[in-house]
Amino acid sequence: MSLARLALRISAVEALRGRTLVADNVLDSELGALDFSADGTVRTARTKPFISVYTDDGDAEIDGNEPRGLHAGGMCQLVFEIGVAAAMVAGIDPETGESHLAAGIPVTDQALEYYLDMTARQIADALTDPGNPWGKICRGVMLSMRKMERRRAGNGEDGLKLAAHQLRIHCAIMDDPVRGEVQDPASPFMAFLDALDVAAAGDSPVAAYAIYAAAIRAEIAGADEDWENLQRRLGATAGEILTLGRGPLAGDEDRATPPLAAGTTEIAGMAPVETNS
Amino acid sequence: MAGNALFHDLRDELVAEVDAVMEETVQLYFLANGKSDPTRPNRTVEAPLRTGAEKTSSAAAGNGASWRMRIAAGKAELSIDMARYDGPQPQAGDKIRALDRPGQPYWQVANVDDRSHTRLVLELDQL
Repeated sequence: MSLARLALRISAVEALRGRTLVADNVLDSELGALDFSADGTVRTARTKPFISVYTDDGDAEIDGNEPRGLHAGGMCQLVFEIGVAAAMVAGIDPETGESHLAAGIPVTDQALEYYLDMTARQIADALTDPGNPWGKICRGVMLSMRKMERRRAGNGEDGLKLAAHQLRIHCAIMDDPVRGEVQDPASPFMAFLDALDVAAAGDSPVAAYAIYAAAIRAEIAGADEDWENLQRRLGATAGEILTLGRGPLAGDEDRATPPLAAGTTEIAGMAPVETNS
Repeated sequence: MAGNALFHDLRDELVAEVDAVMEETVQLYFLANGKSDPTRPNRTVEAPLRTGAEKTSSAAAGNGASWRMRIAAGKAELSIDMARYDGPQPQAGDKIRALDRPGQPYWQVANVDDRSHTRLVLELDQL
């Protein structure tokens, strides 16, 4: 719904990759259903334990100072769903029928729950790690957390025994960048775009990251006057921005804002004053 | 299994006739706490295995409003003829493998219904 949410979600996904028990199986906004083929040897990597990251509903309260503040970030819910099923554990011994989550841990309900608790803790470690570059971007976009909900669910009735944990973070996120505003290259959002380019050039599983980065840069490109940036951020009309004391001079009907060359100020009862830049 | 009424003989004959057509070879694995149970040796059995259509449902059964995860799975049942089965009693947590089906899939036993007079029915979850 906004570029800030996009940055939050993708940086969270990439911050977790390779840093938890699920390794690379971190999914972004997964829509489809988990399905397990009969032949255990032909299953895709998707049917391993996974973390699925979503950005859910969020409200932004707009106060009277921003009449039409469409760029406001507001609140957002960052959701991590971790799922593990007995069916995901590969390598059932065809002689004994045993299967193991890891060496020495047979697959029981308790072992699955341990796996989920451990992975959820690793999510927190990955996002707060000072040495994690994507974690740094994620923390920059997420201004502050307001609430964290931990939920668990299990499904044992529909033909697949699945245990799942959900971590739902209610957080305030940064406002979206305004088109035409020159961005600080060290800001979290610009660092996010640079990191997308680097990831696409490397071995990231998402090759489209470079296309996203190019499209986002095009969307916010430009170098406008600062009163134009303010007008965009407030969503103000030309009249409103003039009333605030910002905006072009009344005589500048094209709003071209040329640099000041010369000006004349007329004050009643005095001779006109010339101003030269 | 002991039966001393005429209907028991008819019952056994009927079930055996049905199974002669519908049965398939299934490997039973008896487990205790996830490990092989030494008191109940694994064995194969010939019995009908019926699988239902797969449906998509929420990961949190019934509580699905705030969960996005979905699963596509179907229930299955293994119905063993009680009169001809002399193996160990299966329990929840045991596994089975359908040896005659492509891919030789595994299931885990969720529930055992042993109160029917004709069949021992194992309700199965996909593995």
